[in-house]
Amino acid sequence: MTHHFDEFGKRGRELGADAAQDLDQGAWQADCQADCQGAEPNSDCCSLIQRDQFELLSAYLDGEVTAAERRQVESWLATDPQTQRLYSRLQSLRQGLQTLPIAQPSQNIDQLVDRVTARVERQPRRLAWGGLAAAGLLIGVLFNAMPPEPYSPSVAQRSGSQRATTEEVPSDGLMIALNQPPIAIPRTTQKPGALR
Amino acid sequence: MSSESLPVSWSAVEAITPPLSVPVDRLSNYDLILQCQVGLRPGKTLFAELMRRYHAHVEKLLYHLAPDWSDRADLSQEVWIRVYRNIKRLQEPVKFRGWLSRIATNLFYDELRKRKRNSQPLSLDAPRMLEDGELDWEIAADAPGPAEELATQEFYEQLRQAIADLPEVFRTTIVLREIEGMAYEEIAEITGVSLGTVKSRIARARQRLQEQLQHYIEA
Repeated sequence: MTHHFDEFGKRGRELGADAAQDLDQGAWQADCQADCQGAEPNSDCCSLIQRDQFELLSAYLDGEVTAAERRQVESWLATDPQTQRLYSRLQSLRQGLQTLPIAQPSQNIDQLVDRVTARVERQPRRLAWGGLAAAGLLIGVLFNAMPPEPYSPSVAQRSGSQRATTEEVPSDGLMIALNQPPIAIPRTTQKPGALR
Repeated sequence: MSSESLPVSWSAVEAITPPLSVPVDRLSNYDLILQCQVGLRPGKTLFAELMRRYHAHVEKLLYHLAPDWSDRADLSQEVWIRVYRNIKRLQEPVKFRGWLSRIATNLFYDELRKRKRNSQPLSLDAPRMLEDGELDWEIAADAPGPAEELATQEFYEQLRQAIADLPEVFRTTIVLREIEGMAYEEIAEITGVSLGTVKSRIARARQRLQEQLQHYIEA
């Protein structure tokens, strides 16, 4: 156990020097604060807990570590008082974050309920009006699209003026012809060979 | 009012859910959510009760995600509108809280993106809005007056300020972790970064906070 920990400690220290260089001011431990200010960044005290170790400890706090990492952190916690202190600070911090009350609520709950209710109730009504408007529009369109022939003699005269084929189709049958194209009666645009 | 507590609905639904025999405020959270899923839309009384129970949670989350937004009230209203419209789609009512948090967080992010697009200076109040990776590791200046006896209120005040002072990416990550209780993977997904980045951001946010608040959290 201790042997294993010592080994890691050495490796951790080496890692720490690298990390400290990357960050140029790597003061990881608040306990080391006084010693670290103005000191070599990779002095023993400062590199004691470096970035990787802190990250590991933080992930451990969240339960986001592998089994091996967990064992590692637990061995630090068992033997290293500084890690223990840091860990307990992190736990207090977590507790503070989780119990932190809101300074002032942005709004009263009753007001919020009223506003939300008003808005969701307005919605369907708006939809209903929209639906009514759409239906009206559709009816209008349908009326306009209706063939005016049966009602207005003037159009009947026009239709008879040019095309012989349309003249042959009775006005009642025109509606049916739109839905079910009559195969038996070839349209003028079709090639004569297409039906045979 | 019974017609209020059990929303008017199609008969097909009534066959599945027994009628309410308990007053709305005595329903368990789980049953309340189930009842809110009945019918085309949640019943008014039921939904109001749901809001009463979970509003503080939404407030707290938005408060910490967007400490310097003056229009958080509109945002939380928007959250509840979305909940109202979509609660039927929630598959597992036990996960309501997490689902609610995600709605709030997503709305916050939508809004954040809009604001970033519309205005180039992020905020005059937040001079420390740095890009990711620039959160300095130097020791924070001493908190004023490290008195021996400090009221909890003062600690909370300091903590609130320290959270608000964190650069945005660090703040949102630590808030989603500590106040939301989200897993790293979930945070990675919601914030669109790698798992490693989440891990590092959380550690660095904690490092900063524990330095700034060391007088209060010292064992």
